[in-house]
Amino acid sequence: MRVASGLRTANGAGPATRGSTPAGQVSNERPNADPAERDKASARTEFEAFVAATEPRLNRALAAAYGFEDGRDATAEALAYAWEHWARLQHITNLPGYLFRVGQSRSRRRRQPVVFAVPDAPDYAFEPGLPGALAGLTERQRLAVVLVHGYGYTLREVAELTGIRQTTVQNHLSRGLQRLREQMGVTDGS
Amino acid sequence: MAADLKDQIHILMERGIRPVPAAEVVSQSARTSPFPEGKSRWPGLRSRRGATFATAAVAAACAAAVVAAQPGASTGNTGAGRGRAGRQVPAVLTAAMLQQVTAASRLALAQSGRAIVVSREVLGGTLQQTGTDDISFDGRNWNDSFTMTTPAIAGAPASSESAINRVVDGSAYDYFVAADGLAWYHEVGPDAVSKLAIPDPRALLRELAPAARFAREGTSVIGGVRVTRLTATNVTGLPTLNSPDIWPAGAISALTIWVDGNGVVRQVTVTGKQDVRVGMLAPGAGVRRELAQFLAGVRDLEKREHLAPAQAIEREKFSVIGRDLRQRHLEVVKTEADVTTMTIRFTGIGQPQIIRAPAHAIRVYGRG
Repeated sequence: MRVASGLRTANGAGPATRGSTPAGQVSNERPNADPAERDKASARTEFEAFVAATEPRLNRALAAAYGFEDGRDATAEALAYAWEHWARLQHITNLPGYLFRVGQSRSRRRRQPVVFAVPDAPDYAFEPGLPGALAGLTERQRLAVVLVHGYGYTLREVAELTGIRQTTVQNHLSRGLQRLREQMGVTDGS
Repeated sequence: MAADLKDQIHILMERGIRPVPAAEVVSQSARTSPFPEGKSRWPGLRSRRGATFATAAVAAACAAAVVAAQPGASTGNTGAGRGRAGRQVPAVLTAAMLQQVTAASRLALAQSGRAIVVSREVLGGTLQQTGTDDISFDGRNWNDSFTMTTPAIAGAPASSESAINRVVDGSAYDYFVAADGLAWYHEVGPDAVSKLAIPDPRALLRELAPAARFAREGTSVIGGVRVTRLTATNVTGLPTLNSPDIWPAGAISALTIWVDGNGVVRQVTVTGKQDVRVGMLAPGAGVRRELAQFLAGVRDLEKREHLAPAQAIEREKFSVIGRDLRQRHLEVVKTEADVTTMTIRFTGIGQPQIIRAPAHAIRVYGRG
């Protein structure tokens, strides 16, 4: 059984990301607080809401591209960039897509082979060869397979997030799935 | 196991992805306010999110604490100094500080943890092999999931090999393609565990020597943790690596470690270089033709060898031809640099690792 789709969280309707500060705590300020301080608190609240809505999508995409560890670091770097330039970036239309490319450029200098390592994976959850087979796909094939096939994103959503054309995403998806199935020896009806 | 591939992908990703909370982003960011966007004091370091201020302070504080704990240690070269024009001068770690880093790392990783090892071997400028190992350990239990990839070289096709080696309560298991196909195998030979030869990534920590004079060279984020990058400035001061289970023989030509605020090594990148003599075939169609005739003759001789004892004469003839060929063309031996780079990233430091015996494994004896 699949867990709840990340799309709801990505659209902002999901629960806050674990570890984020509840908005109520941030806005609990004194009545006579400095306006600048109020602005900062407000910006932080907005940023936390943005992270809660965007981080899962961004993290999944960058993890699909670079593996769990490097993907997480790239996500952290991209979000940190967003926080540092929040006043300017918060008005960008497709900020998740922008940050995806920030994460890409930040991880480029430490590019390593992709690793999908799960520390305590019970044997019955997935084929042990799946991480290696996924790592064997090209970066774009992995993005398409993981986001569309694994998470149920639409081609358009993947295209907006990654900056790849929809038709290209479709092509990468088809080829990636074919290659993955060949490597895994999987035949299912989906 | 989930039947659908899409479900398996989903489960894999959900198990492996760790969320990045907003609080972590804000706390890791050196700039706590989003509003001032003035020019960076050190534009060259801007890509590191201007974190030099915070990290230098943390590192200096860490260094001060270490030195305080080691009364005999010199304080002359600790802390991040400033040179002319405001540039940061790399601070060199004292022996005491390095000892503290080594001790803290070994203590933190004594019981359990994980390491992702990525290696890459280049011979004479040509990529020979890349490999990744995901190694987790918890007490006596070990798991090594690895992939080795060889690119297409000299006409040989590219290949990739993946397998999992696992030790649970003294029993050895491996997952790879064998006579029974891709499956889990339970090795029950007397030395089955030792034959798996799962490398211990902590062995590399023993190689950190003060003579290398580690210098502080900036910061980055690894596994969501702000770390300080320390690079060996005197690699000739390092011994030849003596960790055959994780490292091929060779002298270290570069060594960089990333250390967190607790002095624990989070990542090590080591590069080894050695000169190897490589036999080459001289180019030219004539040589190839001669070689082909020679090899065909040898094969033919081998086929007929059991028929006539007098073939020894012919064998000698081929031997002479072969020696002549080698002398003229084949023994073009040149020395090339064999460079291996390995990055070991430690995660889950001190955290329990769940390493279970496979639910189903084919029992085999002595395959190793």
